[in-house]
This record gives sequence, C-alpha cells and structure tokens, in this order.
Amino acid sequence: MELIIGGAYQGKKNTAQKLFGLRNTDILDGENCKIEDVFSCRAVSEFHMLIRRIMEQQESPEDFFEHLKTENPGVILISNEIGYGIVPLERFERDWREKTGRICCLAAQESDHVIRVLAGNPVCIKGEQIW
Amino acid sequence: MIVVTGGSGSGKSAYAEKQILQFGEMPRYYIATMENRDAESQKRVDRHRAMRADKKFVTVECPYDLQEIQLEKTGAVLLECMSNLVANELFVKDGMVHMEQTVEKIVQGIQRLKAQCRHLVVVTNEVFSDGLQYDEWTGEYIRCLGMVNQHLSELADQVVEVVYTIPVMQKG
Repeated sequence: MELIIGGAYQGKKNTAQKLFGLRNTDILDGENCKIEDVFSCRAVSEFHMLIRRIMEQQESPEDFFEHLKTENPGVILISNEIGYGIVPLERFERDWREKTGRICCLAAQESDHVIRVLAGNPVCIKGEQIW
Repeated sequence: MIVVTGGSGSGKSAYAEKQILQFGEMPRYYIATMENRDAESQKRVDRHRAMRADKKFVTVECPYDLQEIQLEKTGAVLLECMSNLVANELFVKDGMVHMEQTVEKIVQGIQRLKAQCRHLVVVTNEVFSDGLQYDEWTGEYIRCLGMVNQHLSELADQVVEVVYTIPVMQKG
C-alpha cells in the first residue's frame, strides 16, 4: 500500500502519476466511483470522499479498510488532509473528519511510503525516498 | 518539554503517551482538560482512559486554572489537550475573557507545571487551516490557541507534528 496526502489542490494526483507511473485511467475517483471497484484498482483519489460515502451508507469504514487491505494490498491511496480546522458542530461532519483521520492512520501503518504533497512538492514522511 | 500537535484523528494522543512511557519508570501524571459534558466526550474520555490503562498514570482533572496544580511527586506529565483548556478559559458563563489575559494565564500555568516535573508533554491541536470565516468568538478562540501554541513552542525543546501516526519534527 502507498499513501499520498496533502491539502486540497496541491498536485497529489499528478505526483502519484509521476512517482508510480500511473495513467489517468489507473486512478479511480473516490467521490463517484463504484465502491466495489476500489478492491481491484491500482489507485484511488479523493479517498476522504470515499470514506464519507461509506459512512453515508451507514457502513463501517474500519470494516471497509480491513477488506481493502486484504483484497488490494498494493493499492495507492490519495487523500486530502481534512483534520486541520475547527471541529465542526454538526455530528456527521465531525465524525467524518475524525474517521478519515483514523483510517488514514491505519493506511499510513500499512503503507511502504507516506508522501505529503505541498504545492506540487512531494515530501516522504515514511519510507525511503523513491525519486 | 515536548509539544505534540496534529489534526483530528491523527494519532497524536497515542504518540504523546508513547513518549511518556519512553522516559522510563517514574511517577506519571495525566492532566485532563476536557470537561465531561455529554455522551460523546464521555466516549472520548473512555477511549483515552482505556489507552492509559495499566500504564500507572495518575489522572488529574484540570479543565481550567492550570496554575493551581500542585503535583505530589516529580515525574513525567502528559497534558491533554491545550485546545480544550483554551476554550474553557476563554469562554466563561458571562461571556468571553480577554484573549491576551487568557494567553498569559495559560503560559504561566505551563511554566509552573514545567518547573514541577522532569518531563512535560503537551498535546495541542492544529485547527488553523480550514480557511473558513467564523463568528467573532470562534475567531478569537483560533487566535488564542495560535498564540498559546507559539509560546509553547518557544518553551519546548521539541515540537512534533503527528501526521497519521507519523512524527514530523517541527523543532528540535
């Protein structure tokens, strides 16, 4: 597994393509792909939105992640870091933010590399630098 | 002194606790700043208590007035979380305390606490980057926590940002 994180619009997807030799079509969009396709894809972007959709369906993101880990251990996950603001008053928004963090913690533990992208610059915060 | 910061759900509590354990056998204190108001915060308290079980922490509840704390023994102290302490100090029954006053009070509290222990680990929170416009009160709160964090960082030997369980050194 690989994890690529950062703020919105930092060039995370581009970075993933460059570093892992992905084509555009290799990357599913977590915001509107079929959830079951994630278990066999090379990469998924907007992973934080995928978590949100799973929660909206009242399914457990932890169970989903366990399943993903087993079915698609080499998957490349691309997620926004969404935990850097004031905790929202609304329950679902608050839970989503927290859960996305927890699932990304699990993903970071599973990943060979965790790469943080800022203004298009990748910084390897876990694993050997691969560029 | 170590300051541990990070976003929500980043694993900063677990990291901070690990640091305390690495200091070895000595008295351990956990200073809890969250006021227990509802089922959700109870759940959070329970989760953190479970994480500390068997690690011989003495829990000291301290939602405000940090400067009043008097520890019996010299040891390792984990204070969690600055974001709650700032909110509790800033927002009182009749309104809002002056921000500068709150910053000063908290910084003095930390200095007093630091003088009483061998190791101090303070957990705080990154709440500064959602770019949203908030009401005046929340805006003051964000400013206040930002100021407190800057002071903490100055006092600390090490500042660590925990990013999804991975420590990223910001100072030291």
